[in-house]
Amino acid sequence: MKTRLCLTMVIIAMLAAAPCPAQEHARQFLTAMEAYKAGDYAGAVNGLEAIAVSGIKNGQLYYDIGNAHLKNNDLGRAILWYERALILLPNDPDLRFNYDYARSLTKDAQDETTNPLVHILFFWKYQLSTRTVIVLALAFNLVFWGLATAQRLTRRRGLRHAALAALLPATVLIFTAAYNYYESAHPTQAIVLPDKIAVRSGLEPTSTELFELHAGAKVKVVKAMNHHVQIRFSEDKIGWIESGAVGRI
Amino acid sequence: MRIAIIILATLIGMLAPLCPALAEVTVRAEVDRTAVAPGESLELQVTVNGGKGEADLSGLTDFKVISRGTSSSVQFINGHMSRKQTTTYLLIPQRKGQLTIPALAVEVDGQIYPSDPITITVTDQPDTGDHSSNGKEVWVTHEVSNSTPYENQQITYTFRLYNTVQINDAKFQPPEFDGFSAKEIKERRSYRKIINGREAMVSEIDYILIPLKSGGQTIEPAVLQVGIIRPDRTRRQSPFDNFFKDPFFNRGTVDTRILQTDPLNLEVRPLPPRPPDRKFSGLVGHFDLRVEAESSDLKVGDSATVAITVEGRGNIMDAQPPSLQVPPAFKTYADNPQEEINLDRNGFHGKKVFRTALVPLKAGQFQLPAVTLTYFDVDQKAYRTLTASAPALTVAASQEASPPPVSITPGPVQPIKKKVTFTGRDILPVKENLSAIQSHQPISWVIFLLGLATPALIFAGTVLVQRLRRQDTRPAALMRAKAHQALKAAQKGPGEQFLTGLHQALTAAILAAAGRMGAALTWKEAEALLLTSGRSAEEARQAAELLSTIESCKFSGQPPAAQQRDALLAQTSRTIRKLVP
Repeated sequence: MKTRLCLTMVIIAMLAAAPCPAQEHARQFLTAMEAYKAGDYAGAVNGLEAIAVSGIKNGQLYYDIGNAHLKNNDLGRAILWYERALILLPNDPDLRFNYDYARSLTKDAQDETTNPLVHILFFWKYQLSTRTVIVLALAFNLVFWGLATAQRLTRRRGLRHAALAALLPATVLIFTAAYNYYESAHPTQAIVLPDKIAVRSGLEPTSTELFELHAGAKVKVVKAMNHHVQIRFSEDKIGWIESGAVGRI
Repeated sequence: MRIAIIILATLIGMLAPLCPALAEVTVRAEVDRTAVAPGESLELQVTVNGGKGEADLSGLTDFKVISRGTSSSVQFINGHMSRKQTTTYLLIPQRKGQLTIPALAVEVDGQIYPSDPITITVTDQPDTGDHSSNGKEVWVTHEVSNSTPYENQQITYTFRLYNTVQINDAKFQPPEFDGFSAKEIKERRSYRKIINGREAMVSEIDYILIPLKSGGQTIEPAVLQVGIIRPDRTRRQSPFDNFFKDPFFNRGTVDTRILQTDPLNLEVRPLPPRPPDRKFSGLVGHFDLRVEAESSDLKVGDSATVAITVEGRGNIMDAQPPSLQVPPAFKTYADNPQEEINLDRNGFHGKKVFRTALVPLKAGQFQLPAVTLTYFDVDQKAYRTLTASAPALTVAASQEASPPPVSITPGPVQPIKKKVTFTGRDILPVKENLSAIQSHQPISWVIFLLGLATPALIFAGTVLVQRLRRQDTRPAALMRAKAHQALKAAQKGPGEQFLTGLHQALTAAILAAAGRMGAALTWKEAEALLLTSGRSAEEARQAAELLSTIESCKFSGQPPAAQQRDALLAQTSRTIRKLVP
């Protein structure tokens, strides 16, 4: 009995001494903030990226990482993290401002990757975060089935019309959410990370250099092969680079 | 007597303007053209305004003269009478060359009044007047007031259109005025002028030009498109033609002409070397300078406005504020300059007022130094320096212990809005809130699908329950369904079917209430069944009576009247709802 009691107390003490992950993240975060303020931007990057790598998905955290990279003169990674933050916080004004500023520093004239008409026609896709789309899809789905059930029970015609009215946004948002799931599972957009990189016609270093890209250029990854990826910068500019030269959004 | 004098004086006053002797007499000679071919004739009109008399034609030795008659008219305009006599002659030249119609003397009331001489050209091919005013119907000229101006000296450019015939639809295309700052004077002038014996309508368009650089400058030709109205020669002239002497009424043809002036060459002189000891203001013209202070007695902390006014004719719009040397004991606040600049045929003129608010910081006597302005005087062809003495300011100590906050009200100032541009670029700061480390894991697709499916499953469950309820095989449920079905059939059926349906519906409802199966009941059996199933005696009696009534109607063989049918249907429906709700 005495032995069992001692064992229990040891386990409790060990559990109490072990740092909780949340506390560890907070400590890392505060240290990174101190480093950022002190001008140690590389230190801030390390601390913040360690939190992100541990599985924390947060738009503000990604924004801070982007800031630290930008101050550390790493334009490619700054834009990469800003892009990731934009998926979670598409309407954050600070993020928009810094992203636009970082974009203004890039050297490659970027074509519109998406037709502006698509942005207008499917505005909710680009104005709402993925989480908001999912929540709204669930909400409209619930409203539709709720009204349909009520109509079934009461046989009121007005409820039938209301249910049909809820069906349209529910369908649109469900498909958008499904597309977002697919997009996040198969990311194709990527950002060029090095200051300058040659895009070649093949995987070999001796392959013909087709064109050059610079840090921050947004590309579409077409396929991957042997530690290389085939990227498309615009309609007529496609070629191969090493897979480490781009960061997937 | 006094009244008589007043009446007489009034009459004299009224009649005096009517006296022709007091009117001014003028004589004018006009020809219809100044170039003719040998054998052709021209028309000469001698007009005497303000009197009557005959012209002395003895000097017309080179022409054969044929009189075409005299007309006279009297007009009253604004209470004044004017007489006008016009004598028309037909002249036929007797030789070729430059012939002269000399000044024709007309004697009016003993006084001799001469007309202006007119030169007539007689050639085989008379000049139609495309290149000079002689014989022209419409021509244009342009000129500048000064062909050798100084740099920044304003000059007047005048374009003139002369027409001796009716014209319409004139379109003016001004020159480009390269090398000049040009401003059109909106007010255009029109007047009549006798040119070589012919009356022409003159229209003027003026521009004020300021040469921007020295050296030879050329003003390109000005172009005018104009339509000349030609009378319809095939139409008979009527006495009303003069009345309808208006393009609107004219029924002739329009001959469109393009007229252009010759280029104008100007030599813009550079300004002389600037005086080394004076600061040139850049003004060219004639200017005055004055300095005024709003108040010369001040207290520390008060404000007084000093106004420097530059006024004159020239490029006043370019005037910059003259330097006002203020002692260090004053704070100064400059106001936006106030401009009053006008434009007329002599150029820009007006004034520019530069106001500065002075706020004394300490007490004492202060003499502001004189204000100077150096400009180039175009008449004197030299730089001239204006000096205006500034007032002395007496500043008394403030009576308050501590100086009040300085309040400057230099007058209404229109805010100048401009596009905001970045003066520096940087990113916005990091977000230090600890909420940045709260993970916002996206909703997994499994949960999303569950969320979608759950309400759909609830709906499906509801539908299933409803269907199961419909498939109830208990006698009460079956008979209730039969009752409702029979009632529906009765509502639609005519005559006997109606009564049969009602009977079946009521019978089925009574059996359902009793929880039994069956097909037929007498009214006594029905009452007994309901009583045994726990219904009240009243309820049982009413149902039995209704069943009896329906049977009676059914077996009578007569279809019920419409009113009776409605009453039976309503009563049966009510009873069924009570028995099987």
